[in-house]
Amino acid sequence: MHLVIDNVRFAYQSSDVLKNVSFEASAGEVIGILGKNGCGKTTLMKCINAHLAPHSGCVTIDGNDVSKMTKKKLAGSMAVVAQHVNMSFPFTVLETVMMGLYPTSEWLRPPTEEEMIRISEAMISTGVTEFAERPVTELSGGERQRVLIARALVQDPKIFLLDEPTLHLDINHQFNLMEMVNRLAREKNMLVIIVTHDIALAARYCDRVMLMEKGEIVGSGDAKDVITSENLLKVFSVRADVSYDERINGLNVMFIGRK
Amino acid sequence: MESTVEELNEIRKKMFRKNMIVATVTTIVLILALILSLSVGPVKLSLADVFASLIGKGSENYIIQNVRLPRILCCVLVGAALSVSGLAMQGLFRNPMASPSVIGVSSGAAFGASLAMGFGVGLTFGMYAVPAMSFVFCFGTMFLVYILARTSGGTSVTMLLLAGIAVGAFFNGMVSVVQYIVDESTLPGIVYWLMGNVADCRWPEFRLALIPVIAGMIIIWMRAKELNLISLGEEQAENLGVNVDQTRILLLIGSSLAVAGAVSISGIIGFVGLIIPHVFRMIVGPDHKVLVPLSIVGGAAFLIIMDVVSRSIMSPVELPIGILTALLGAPFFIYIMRTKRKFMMGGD
Repeated sequence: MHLVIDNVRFAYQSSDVLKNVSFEASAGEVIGILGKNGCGKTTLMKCINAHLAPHSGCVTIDGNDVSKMTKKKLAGSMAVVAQHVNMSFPFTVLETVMMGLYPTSEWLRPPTEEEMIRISEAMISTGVTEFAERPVTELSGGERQRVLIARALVQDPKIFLLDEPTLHLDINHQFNLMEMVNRLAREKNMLVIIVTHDIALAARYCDRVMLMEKGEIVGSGDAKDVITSENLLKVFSVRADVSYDERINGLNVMFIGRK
Repeated sequence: MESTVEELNEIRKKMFRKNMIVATVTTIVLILALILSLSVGPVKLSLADVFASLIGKGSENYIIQNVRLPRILCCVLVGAALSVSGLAMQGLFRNPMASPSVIGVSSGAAFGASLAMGFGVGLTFGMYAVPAMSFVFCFGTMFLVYILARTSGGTSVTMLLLAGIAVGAFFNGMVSVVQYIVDESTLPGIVYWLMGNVADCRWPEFRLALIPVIAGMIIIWMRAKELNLISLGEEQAENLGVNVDQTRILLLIGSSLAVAGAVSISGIIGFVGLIIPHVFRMIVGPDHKVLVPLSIVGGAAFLIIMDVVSRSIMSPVELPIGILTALLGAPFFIYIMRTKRKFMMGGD
């Protein structure tokens, strides 16, 4: 599986939000996209999942333009966990997770044994089986987030887009989620793209980190090459010490303060 | 892993059993209501008379076969249509307060129908002029309210109700204009029709409403799964693979067909589409695959019971059924508004 973002430009009214963004990614990678508020991260995600149509350029999966794929076909190869998720109606956790079967479902056909196994796997790996019967409207933000990830896993995607997945989670669940995502990328050979504000988590768990500024990718590569004191000062206007820490076998980011 | 699969299957079975019990009880209520309503009226009939008349043998088979039966079957159509289209609108607008009368759609349909009745607009459709004009205005009004109330994350309750009030008021005004300028001989008919009642419904009315109502219900039921996903928000639904634009249009057409079919034979009967889906949602949860059939059966039973009450409460005078549902529905509306405040604001 190969994802290509080719010269994507997008504008709201007259101001460009994405200016000719290009990159490629393959199955098994975990990519973190970092940047200030309003730098175009979420817009980029929406172009990748064909929710927005780029004004020029295109996004392709194995050569197929996402904007020309049917929604069902796209949902069968790409799952999204969005940032703001509204739950107006009290579906149970199980009902919500089962909605992930939609891309392969038929009218009124009950799920097959194989699909139930997929649902169980997704619910076990996100730890939501214990509240299968509870309405999603009664869950905490973090619990709900895990339910939505379980639903996305049921789609059995090749590409998994997560927008601020750790926002509502406590630190333990943040680690848990990022470890899970890494494991899934390896075991299921999935491409994971995470938009996040959490620089430390991205530094620790992403194979590749991309820095965005004003609609452009200004840095891309290994975390140790991209998450540097200079880049953080330039993009976020904060002073930080970045050092290798052997206890975590990764980068340790220590923020000192604003410029 | 296997134990989890079993556990989840057990939960699904439990839900299925519960739904089946509710469906059975609702169907029994419908059947009892049908039998009861056939025997109640100015001429009281025993159950034996009713059954004999149904097979053409009793002494009163004219009343049963040509007056009561078509009227009751019209109640079935109207109740089912209003209830299921209310349900579809609530899911589509992501908003438990939506229903044909609350968001002004019934008023739009009423205007279309009164144009047809008052001036013969749409004569090319012959006997279908009233339902055809109802449908056109119903669809137009629903689309207009939807566009006006739409925000980035769905429709907000406030915007929806306000848009509904404004659009509804406009069409009510237009209906008054029609009443004001129309021929004196057609006026009483329009006024009586607007109160909402099924007293004059016979076989021709039943046949008139049958096709649009059934077609509307089928369209909505075919899209029940999509309705579940859209009720979570359009972006989420799209991410899960729903073709939102196409589904939205289909649901608007389906609800408009059902409402137009109902309104053109019974006039404006309010609040059925608010009360029935809400009651079932409280009992079986928000799954539209279950709610659609339940709302159809439940809406039919509810309207038959309302019809029996409207016939017997001031007997021998009949109260128009629309007055009765409004008297019941308005307090129910206030009840939802007060108790489900958080739920209600979900679309905001």
